[in-house]
Amino acid sequence: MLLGVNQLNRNIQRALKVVSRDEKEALKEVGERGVGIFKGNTTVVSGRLRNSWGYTTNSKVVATQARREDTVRTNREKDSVVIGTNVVYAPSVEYKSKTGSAGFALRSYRQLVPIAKEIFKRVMGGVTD
Amino acid sequence: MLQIKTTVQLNAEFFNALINDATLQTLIGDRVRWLSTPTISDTFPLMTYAKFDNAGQYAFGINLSAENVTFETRHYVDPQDGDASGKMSDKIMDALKVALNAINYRQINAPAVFLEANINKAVSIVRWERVNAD
Repeated sequence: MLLGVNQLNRNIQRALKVVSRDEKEALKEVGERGVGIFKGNTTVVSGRLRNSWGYTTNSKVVATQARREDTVRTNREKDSVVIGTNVVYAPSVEYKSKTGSAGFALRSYRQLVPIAKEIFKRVMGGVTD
Repeated sequence: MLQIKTTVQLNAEFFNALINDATLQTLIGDRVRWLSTPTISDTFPLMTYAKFDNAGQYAFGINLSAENVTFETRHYVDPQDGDASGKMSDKIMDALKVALNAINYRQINAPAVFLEANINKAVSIVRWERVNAD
């Protein structure tokens, strides 16, 4: 009986490991897809803001085209992904622009949410908000 | 039976939440406006609000509820406005959270604060997303 319980515990632990590995992969995929969407929607003059987008999850930062000072700060959580930029003028483009580009990050977020939900559905079999 | 609200009803619900909250009323009174740029002759603090599009894109197979809405509030305050209990801008922010959480809106950005140089007022821009009960 005791042996059976131990076996069950081991199986659960194994299953949890698989799930957490899948979760990490899913978060990376959400990050990659998200950066693509954000870059597609970013308004461009010099390209600095567009190049700066990156994602960070589990203490790793992926921002291949960003300048050092423009790179998003490290997210140390294992179960979340942050897509962002550290460009100093990014907030004024997002909130104050009068040329129609205001709200581009919000539009990108709206486009990403359904895709992220699909990714998690595929990987983990369901997701809640 | 759950009834989906129309755009007009959602707008009215949002506006009523801003105008009827007791704390907000003491801070900004009835100076809540739809999409406008304040001038120096206005009385401050003052708040404007606006509604964003429902969706970022059309995509086959992705269903969006008509209640997937985001509002933006901007509150303008004098940068020096405040007393021992805190800055005016923070007080309005706290009151906003209480008023809008009550009608199921959640804050989706950190307040972006800018100085409006032509009227010498600080504006805090906050976005609120409706949380739909599934």
